[in-house]
Amino acid sequence: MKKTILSAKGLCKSFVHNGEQVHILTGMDVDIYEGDFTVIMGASGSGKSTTLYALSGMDRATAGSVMYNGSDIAKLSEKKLSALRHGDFGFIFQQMHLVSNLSLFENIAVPGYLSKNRSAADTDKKAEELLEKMGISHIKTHLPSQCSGGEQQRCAIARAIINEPALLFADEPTGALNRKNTTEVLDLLTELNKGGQSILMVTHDMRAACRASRILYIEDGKIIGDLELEKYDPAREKSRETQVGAWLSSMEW
Amino acid sequence: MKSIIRLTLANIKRGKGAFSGIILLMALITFTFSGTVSNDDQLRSALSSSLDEADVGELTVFIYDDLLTEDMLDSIGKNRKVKSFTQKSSMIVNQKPVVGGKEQDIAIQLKGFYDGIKVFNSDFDSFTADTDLESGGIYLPYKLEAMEEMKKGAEISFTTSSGSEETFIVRGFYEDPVHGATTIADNQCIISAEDFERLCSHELDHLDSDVKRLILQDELYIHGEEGVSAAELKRSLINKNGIINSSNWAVSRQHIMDLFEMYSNTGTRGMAAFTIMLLLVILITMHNSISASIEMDSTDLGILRSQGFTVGRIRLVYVFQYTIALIIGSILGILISIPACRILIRMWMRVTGILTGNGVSFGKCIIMCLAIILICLGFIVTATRKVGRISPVSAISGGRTEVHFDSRLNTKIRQKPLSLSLALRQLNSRRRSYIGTFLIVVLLVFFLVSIMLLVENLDPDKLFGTSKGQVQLISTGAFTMESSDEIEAAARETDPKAELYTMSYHRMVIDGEFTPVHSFRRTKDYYDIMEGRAPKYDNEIIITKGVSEDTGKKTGDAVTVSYQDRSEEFVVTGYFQSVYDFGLVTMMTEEGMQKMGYNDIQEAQISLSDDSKLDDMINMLNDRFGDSLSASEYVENNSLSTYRTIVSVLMNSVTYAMYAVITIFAAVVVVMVSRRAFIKERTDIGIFKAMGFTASSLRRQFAMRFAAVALAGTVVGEIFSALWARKMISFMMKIVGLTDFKACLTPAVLLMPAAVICLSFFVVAYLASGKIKRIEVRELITE
Repeated sequence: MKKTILSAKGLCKSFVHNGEQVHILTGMDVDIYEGDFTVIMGASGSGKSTTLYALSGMDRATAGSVMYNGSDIAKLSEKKLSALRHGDFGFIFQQMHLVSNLSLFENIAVPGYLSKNRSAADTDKKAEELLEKMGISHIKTHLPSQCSGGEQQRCAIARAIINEPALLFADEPTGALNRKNTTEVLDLLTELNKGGQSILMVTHDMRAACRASRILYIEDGKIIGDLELEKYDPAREKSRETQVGAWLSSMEW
Repeated sequence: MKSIIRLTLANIKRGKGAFSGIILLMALITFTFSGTVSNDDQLRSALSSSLDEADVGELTVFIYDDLLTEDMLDSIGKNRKVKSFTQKSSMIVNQKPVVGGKEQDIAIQLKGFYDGIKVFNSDFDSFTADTDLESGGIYLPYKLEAMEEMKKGAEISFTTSSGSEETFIVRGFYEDPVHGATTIADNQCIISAEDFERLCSHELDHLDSDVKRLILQDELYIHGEEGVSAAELKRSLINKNGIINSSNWAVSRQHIMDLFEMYSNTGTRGMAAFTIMLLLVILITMHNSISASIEMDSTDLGILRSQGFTVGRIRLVYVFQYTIALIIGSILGILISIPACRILIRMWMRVTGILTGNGVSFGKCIIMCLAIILICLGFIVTATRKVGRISPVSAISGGRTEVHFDSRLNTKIRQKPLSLSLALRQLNSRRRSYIGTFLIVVLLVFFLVSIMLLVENLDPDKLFGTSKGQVQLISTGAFTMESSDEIEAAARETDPKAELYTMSYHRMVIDGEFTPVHSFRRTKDYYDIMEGRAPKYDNEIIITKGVSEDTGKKTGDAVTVSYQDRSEEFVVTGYFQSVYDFGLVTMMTEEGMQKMGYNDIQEAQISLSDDSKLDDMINMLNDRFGDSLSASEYVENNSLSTYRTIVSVLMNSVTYAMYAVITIFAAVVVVMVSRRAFIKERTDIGIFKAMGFTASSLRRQFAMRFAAVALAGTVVGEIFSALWARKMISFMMKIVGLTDFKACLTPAVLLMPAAVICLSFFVVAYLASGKIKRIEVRELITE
């Protein structure tokens, strides 16, 4: 029996646009399980990114609840949300969003310094390990502007996991990358998931979706499809693509 | 042109380019200038008219009636440089007046009513037509109105030198353009012509000639021929008939005006320095703002260029934008100064006693504003040169700029203190954005330290040469310099360490210049000696820098000191500093004064080593020397108290005003720089929030940046202060005789500005960073 790590009930999110209310999420119920590599897919404008931000606390839901560890994230104060962001959740953005005047090492270490349970020396050691794992330790003193998109995204992944978050959120992490870098980043995420990291990712890329152990399909702010998959095996990629492709077609993707 | 105007208005509408900040700074500069200049102009104009109405010419001579001869008058009349002169009389009252049962520590003179006297109405905002003065009535100079007991209807009593007790009722206050300023100790009071005649006759009948000589005085208002200066007139009268040599005081019209304008002139110099500082701040702010604006709008500017806008047209937009801000600021500043001038001028009336108009000197203000706008325009044209470097293609393609990574200057990021290390890194990465702030802090610190030095070191005892004895001795007859030794010896029987301090003051001619001369029993203890030493012997004299400039004499030179028929050679022993008579004063020993024929003592005090012996000392002196002096506990005289109060109020006001100005500056500068910073760093702030930094820690980081810049600026500002503050204060205070400003940079003077400025910048930056709370993490998100 899978353990639920995050549970949303009746999740709603609306915006006001040109004086009119636009409803993106309309009462979504979803559970995210520990250890899963969950991917959210859907057509453009279906609300997949909005779902991600509402579930991660990056954005406030208009209505509904998002339970994590017995607390409703939707109602937490800014201070508690900040604690959640550096302690329990990690976030990877499509545009990487590394701090421009910190080196790659510093971009990874600084969120680590926020942790009160670890010394600076331990944080530095962990950051070095992550740089090594991401294959970017040779450019650790470089600024983000001196690195390629793939290198920046790998740094962003390392930053997101330095505090060993319970759940890693990723918003189209390969959206701004070329093919080679996309594969490298997906390999990293797959490896992290194999090591037990729970991941919730939004993507519109089928190759990325094939890495998931669970795919959720969103339409008009509701989940209309939920596909469970075996853990990713590169040897069976082709058949996986066929399976996922067929399922997505049935969802009219 | 239409497109340029549209772009300008669009920029203004969107609040680009620190528009409101420039308006505020320009309004401040205009307001300051307008208030100061208008006050000076109004005072000068009113004083000049008043002097004309009182028939005051280029030279006014005060001479004891006994010493004025017909030959002197005849000689003046025949002097080719003299056009005309008039004569009035006055009587010196040696005893202090009593009002409401309280002795008032002021010196008064009496003058008979004259036509054309200007008497204030009850609101003191104009003159009354009804000036008739009946017997028994008295008009006081306006400066006395500030004293508690001196009100209309009060009874003022005094005893004349012959012992006659007189009482008058205060009927009002009048404008005295010769003695009416608080900077002049004499207070001329007007009584009816018949009362004056009666008193003069009584004194003449009842006093011997030595005493008569010291109370009845003639005032000669001498007008020179066209083109003859007061100095030439004075010199011709010194050489021709000795009236100057025999006078108490010979003062030029300009000198009278300087006495009235002393404080406002000092204020004007201070304001001039302040205005220059404000102008530098405007220029720095504009440069900062233009550079940042060009940087941030590089894409838009590139688009404009791709549409056919020339560099010149784009630069014109900036010129128009800032010119509009400067014009609005000027108009605002002038408008605010209109009511402010009224308040300021009323305040100065208390010091000058002259009814001044309260209009604004629009002409000068407009000229000043135009000059500033022209200087700023030149600056804008220079600052906008970088527009030429924006090419349409590079701007549209994102305008990637190189990142300069100077490892020598990078600060390490540490877990503790994390906020501070991140703040310093942010500061380091965008150093150029903060250069303007840094320079402004340097200027503010320099100014603040200078003001604090001035406040800390305006010691009236050293400026006026007052002693610090606990026992005051007032002559009742025969207390002269010859009895000084005997009195001091007697005092030492009660207190072996007691010291007698005496002061005498007379005007004499020194190498052709009519100059006040002080003599002291202990010359070295009164003033700051700037060079050389205090006089010790009867042929030595010490002068001020001002006297040295007038006479051309310096340390070691011989000067001729003369009065009436006496003339002696003295050697200059050095320079000292005093604010008496704008620093045009000299000092000699008691023996030197006796050599010049004076033996009287005007002020004397005994200092005790043991305060518990005060009563014994007073009793002993009164018992033994009661026929020549009266001993009592020393109470600071009204003039000095008034001076202390004026200086204290003035300096405290200036200090508080400076602190207020600094806070305003901090607010304006921080808000302008932070707006830019927020726009540039919006994404970074969102990233930090996504990482788990709280809004309050980000705000602290932001505020620490400004505090760090303020600290750096403070250090540099204090170095500049150590090098140049004294020079600046000497420039400002030279007008009152402070030519060598001896001031110590104490820890308080250094640390206070540092603390105030760093704290102001930190607090304002923290408050300005409130928008960090509103930056949502989702702004990072892209669909």
